[in-house]
Amino acid sequence: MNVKLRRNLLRVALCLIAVAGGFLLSFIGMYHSIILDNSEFSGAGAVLPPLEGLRVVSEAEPVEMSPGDRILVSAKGPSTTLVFEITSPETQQSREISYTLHMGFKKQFFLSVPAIVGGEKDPFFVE
Amino acid sequence: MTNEKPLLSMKGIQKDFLGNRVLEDINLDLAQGEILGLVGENGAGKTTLMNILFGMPVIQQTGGYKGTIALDGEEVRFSNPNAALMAGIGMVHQEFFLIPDFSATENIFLNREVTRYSLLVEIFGDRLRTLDKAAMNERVVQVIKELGVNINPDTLVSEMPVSYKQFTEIAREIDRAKIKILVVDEPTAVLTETEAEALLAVLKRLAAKGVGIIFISHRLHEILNICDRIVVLRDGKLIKDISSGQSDVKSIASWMVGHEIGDFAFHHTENHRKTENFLSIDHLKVLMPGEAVKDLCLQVHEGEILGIGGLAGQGKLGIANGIMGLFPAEGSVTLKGKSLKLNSPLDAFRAGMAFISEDRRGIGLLLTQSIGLNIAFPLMQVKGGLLKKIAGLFTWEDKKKIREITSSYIERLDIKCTGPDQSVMELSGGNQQKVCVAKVLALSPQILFASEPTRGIDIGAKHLVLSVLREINEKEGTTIIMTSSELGELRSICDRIAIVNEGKIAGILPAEAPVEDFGLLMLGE
Amino acid sequence: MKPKYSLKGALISNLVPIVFLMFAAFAVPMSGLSIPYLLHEMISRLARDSLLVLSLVIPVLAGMGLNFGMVLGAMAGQIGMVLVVDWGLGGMPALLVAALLGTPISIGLGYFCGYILNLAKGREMVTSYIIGFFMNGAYQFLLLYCMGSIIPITNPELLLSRGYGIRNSMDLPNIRQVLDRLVSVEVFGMDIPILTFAVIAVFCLLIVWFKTTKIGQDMRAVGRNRAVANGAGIPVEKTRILAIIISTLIACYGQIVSLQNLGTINTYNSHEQVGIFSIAALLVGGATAENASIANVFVGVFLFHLMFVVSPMAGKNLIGDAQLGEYFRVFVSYGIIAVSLLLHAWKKRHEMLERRLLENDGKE
Repeated sequence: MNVKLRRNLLRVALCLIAVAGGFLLSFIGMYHSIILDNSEFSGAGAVLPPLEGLRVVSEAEPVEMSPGDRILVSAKGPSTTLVFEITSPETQQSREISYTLHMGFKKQFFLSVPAIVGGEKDPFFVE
Repeated sequence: MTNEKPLLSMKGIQKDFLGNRVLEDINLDLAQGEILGLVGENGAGKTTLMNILFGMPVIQQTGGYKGTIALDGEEVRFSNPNAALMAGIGMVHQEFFLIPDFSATENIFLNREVTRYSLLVEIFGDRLRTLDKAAMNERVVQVIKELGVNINPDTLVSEMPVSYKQFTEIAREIDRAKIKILVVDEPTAVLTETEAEALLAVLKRLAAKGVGIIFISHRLHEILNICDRIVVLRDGKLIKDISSGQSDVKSIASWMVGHEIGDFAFHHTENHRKTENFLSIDHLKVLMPGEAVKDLCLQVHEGEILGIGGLAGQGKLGIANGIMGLFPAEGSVTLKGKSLKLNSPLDAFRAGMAFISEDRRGIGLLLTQSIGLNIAFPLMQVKGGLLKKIAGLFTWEDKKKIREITSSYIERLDIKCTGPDQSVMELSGGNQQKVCVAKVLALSPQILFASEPTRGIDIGAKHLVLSVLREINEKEGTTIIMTSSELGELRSICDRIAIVNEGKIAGILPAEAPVEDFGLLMLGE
Repeated sequence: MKPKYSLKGALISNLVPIVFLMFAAFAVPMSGLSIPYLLHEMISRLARDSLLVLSLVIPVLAGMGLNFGMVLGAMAGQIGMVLVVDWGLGGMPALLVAALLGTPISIGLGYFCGYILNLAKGREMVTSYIIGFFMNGAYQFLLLYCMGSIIPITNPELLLSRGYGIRNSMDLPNIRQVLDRLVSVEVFGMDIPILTFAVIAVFCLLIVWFKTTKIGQDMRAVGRNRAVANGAGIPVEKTRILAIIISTLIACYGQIVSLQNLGTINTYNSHEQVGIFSIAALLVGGATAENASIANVFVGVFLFHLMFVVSPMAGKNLIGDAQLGEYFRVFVSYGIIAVSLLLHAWKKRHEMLERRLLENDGKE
């Protein structure tokens, strides 16, 4: 292979790597807004009530959520794991549910916490 | 010339410059290992011929040329100097082609650096190779050794004496690996005799290796000594193409000039030494790089022509430059009992001194300006001449008077030009020098310092410049201090000759003294 | 024949930094600011501005004077930053993506600037200054009109209320000091941004290495004597364009580093002053339009910013008016630029003038 061709191929490859790297970095470095909603969710079939004694652990500070609350958490990267601690007011027993969200290049997510906790396949809601 | 085909063959070369035919039907062959002497007066067409060979842009810009050039039997037509270089034609320039702030090594390897591979080359190309300084220095040391001179590869060119700059240029051409033809334009003009001999020996050695050399020089003795064949140009025509064994200085000179010229020497008139201590120089020190003067004492008599000779780098050029204030000087200079303020060019001029610089293109001339302004400038600045007042307020240059005076000098000095308004840059070297002379004549100085007034100019112009110097010395009583590296020239015109060695006067002899005595003084014996 | 080292020579060639140092020695105690505070400020400012000032070194090497056109690089960096903020990137990836975006823009702008400077040989400085001005117009057009209309901007918070055009200023909450804080060491209660300095060091090394390459040598040759370089077959114009492209690129990265340190962008002002500030800093560091070294960069940034911090307080304590110290600083800092430009112009005409002065002369 002659030198010129080799170098040009190398240069093209490097450019491609740079572009791909840019995408990858965007993928990793993008901040997403996740809006968590703790109100009644009516999905396919069941109607799930809001949760009491809910604490959300995300990349930021943990937050308590009362029924009817709506909060904004911000998360970085291709995926994030949200942990919901639900302490039942009667039994004082708590359980933890973690949920991993793959965010891709989408910037905003509307998530219903009761749907997630209730094991709903599609916990997203539309405004 | 027994070779089956010549290395270089130029056929029917013709060139017109704005309607003037400057070259007409030139046929020229150069064999391998041959040294060809190219002689001719300035303006005879030597430079144009070489410019054509090199494909200099100026040739295309003025309409190209007619005829063919063949290199190794193949026809070539170079569109730029780089193409000529690539084809193996090297040139040693008369005007230095060096970067002053670069070292000898850097200049010799300019754009031909020895480089090493580096990884980034793959991405950004070959210009990102790193320099191999050690390898370059090694090669430079070798080339310099071959030249037989002593240059430190790390010395900056700006700190070198002129001769070393020349060697650096030659070293650069020699170092080219596949050089076939080397054109040397006036290489010895700035060199002392010993240096010139060393150079000629190197050129002979190169020729023995098979390099064809075109040697341009005004020093006919050198031409005869070194060249196999001599080609004489005159007014754009090839006058003579003869083997050097069949010619002598006199006949070559007459072919060049076109008429028989008499003996070169002038008749020495009786000196009119009116005042013994007209100009006295005491313990002069001049900080001129490469030409330093150290503690020099000299008495100049009124009305004499004093020659200053010596080997290059010994300080002979420093004297005039120091007194005229061009380089920092210390010591005392007394003119007619009055002490002169040093380091002040204006005071030097006011005191009635004038200077023909050895560096005519750098210091001597305003290259881009007209002949008229060049001649009139010092007069206007120093003496306030040629100026007229408008409404008593503004001073204005008197254009009409300038033209008149310029025309008279053009006639008197036979300056070849289109008129007083032509820019000095367009003139040939010899004519530029005549402008320099005209300029100091216009000042009618009491004392004239002439540094290398005939360097790099042809016989005709040389003769004229020298005779003009002699003339003003005789008719106007101007005291002339002439510095030259050509002893023969000094002996032909001077009354006394002082030889400078190691920044001091080694001795003063009358011009008639035997040559050997001068030689001994130069060598510091 | 080598020039001998002399104290006097060293003093004269470093006159400017020495004057500033003397002034600082006087102003620092006057200001009443504590040394640790000043040191902390200086470290932070060195990290912020060194790379920008470093971008000026290569064009000086190539004989093109002080590249006022470096603001083009700053613009490119800012465009990258604006886009990155719009896309919601944060952290180190955001900086890297901004740099990736800025790279082609800088190369394009650098080529353009270099091309024009080739048409204006010998007047590079004033030309690059004006290029900076009119490209500012193009920049404003791009950000005020194209962004949000032709170029999609998804984040409405960045846009002006009319629906297109970028706001005057934006915060960089997820980008603020990410580079500085990623790797930093605490020394005597001061955070030293090791990684930022490492990045600067890498660029310094690149410049040093660059000088030892063929193209670095070509640039020096072009800078010293264009005619001879051309005669030797060096592609002069191409080399000069390359010098400007490299300068623009470093300025782009420098602006990104500087913005992450500040944590905010003044969309239409941040880049404007960068050229003048950087050039003043370099000159204060003892550089000239013909000669600039890496040492000049750091000394310059240090002294220039020291004056910045100290003079208002010194003025206040001395005369009771902070503004007065500030006036003095402005006067001296920009006076330096004026003097340097004058000296440069003088040197360019030096040969011609000297010829007249020496050979013929004397002006009355």
